Amino acid sequence: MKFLLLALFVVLISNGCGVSPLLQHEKEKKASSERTAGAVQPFTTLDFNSRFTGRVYWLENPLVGKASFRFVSAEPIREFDAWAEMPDMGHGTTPFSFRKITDLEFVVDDVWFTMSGRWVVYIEVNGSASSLEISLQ
Amino acid sequence: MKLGYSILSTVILFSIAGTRVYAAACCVTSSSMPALITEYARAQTALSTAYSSAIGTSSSSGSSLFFGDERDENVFKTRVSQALTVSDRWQIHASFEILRRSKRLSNQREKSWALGDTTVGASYELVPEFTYHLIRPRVFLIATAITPTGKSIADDTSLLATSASGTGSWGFSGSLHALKTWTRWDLVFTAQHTRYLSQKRTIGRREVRYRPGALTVLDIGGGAHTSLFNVPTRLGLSTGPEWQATPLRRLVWNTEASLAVTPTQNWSTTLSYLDQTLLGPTYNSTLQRSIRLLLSKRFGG
Repeated sequence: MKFLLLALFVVLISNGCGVSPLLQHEKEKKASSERTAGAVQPFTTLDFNSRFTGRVYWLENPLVGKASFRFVSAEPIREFDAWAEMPDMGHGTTPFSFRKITDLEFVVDDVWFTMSGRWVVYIEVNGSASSLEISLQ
Repeated sequence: MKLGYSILSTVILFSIAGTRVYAAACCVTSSSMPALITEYARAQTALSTAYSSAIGTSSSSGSSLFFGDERDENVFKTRVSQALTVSDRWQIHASFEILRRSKRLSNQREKSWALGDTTVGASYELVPEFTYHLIRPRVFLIATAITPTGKSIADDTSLLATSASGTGSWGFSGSLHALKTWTRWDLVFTAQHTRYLSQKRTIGRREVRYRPGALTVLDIGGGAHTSLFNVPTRLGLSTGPEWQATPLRRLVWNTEASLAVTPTQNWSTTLSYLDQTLLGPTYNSTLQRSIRLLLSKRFGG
């Protein structure tokens, strides 16, 4: 019986229904090296109710942890707000901090993605909202 | 012989009737096996402390990522549970827990203490064992209500979300627990299903209705009974899946090894190690390893 249980355990680990995370996984790279690797700033274009567009430039590649981005609008910004939501988990983050650079440009700091998964970043400009989705591991 | 059987039963029930607690790092949904009492006690008090460390995460595709040096997440959980015998077959139980969570991310470290969710419930011994049967197991049905005394992650105002300590929703769980004991061996099976009420949450400028998915945990295990320094001892091994039907389906496999000793009929200690990285597949889950120490005391035996 003892050996049967042990054998069952070994079989489960080696041939179980799926891949054992212990035997097959990737090791997380250092955030600093990952961020340097993406030297080109990718951007995402957002549409605000077909009235105007804006672009989000990540100042650092978004990873789990702290991130920041620059938002450039095609229309002068009178009111600005941004937040992030994890829709599958039903929560957001602590409030971001904003810096106005010009009438068309804001920098958003202290974007804390606290865990892996799908995040939606909402940006509201002059009463119109748009969003972009990112997936972090 | 009768005393030997009684001690054997005590070892098993003490070791299974602990306070195993799993917790998804994000939303602190957790399942826990409530305390059960053998027929020779009026009450049982259990104190457990568990230290869990998140090793990594798994994605929707089933790939796993183990954390590097720049990231760690740990939970130290202390739980007190009490069970009382009401009649031959009925028991009631309650528990509360205190959590200390710590997290390190992007060179930021954060720690917090918080009260977790509280549970109350009742159990019924559906198939008792008044006379020994070679195959027929003892079967318990357990109903538990989870009260949201902990803080949900939606109400968490800390930077790294370390003060989240509960689901934020009322939950109700039903469990079936079956146990069969032979002279030196035992088999244990547990099935638990938990459902949570939905919740209205404000995120940024949006109001959303969040529906935590039903949590199901299955566990099958066995134990070998021996004696260490003349103290009745049980070596246990168990495994099973835990899945949650959130919009992103979460699946993880728990594997646990335990050592339980019963120096007297009324005292028991269990040391166990739980690992979520051994078996797969796993999807959308934090992968944890935890070590737990459980002390149990029976009264009126």
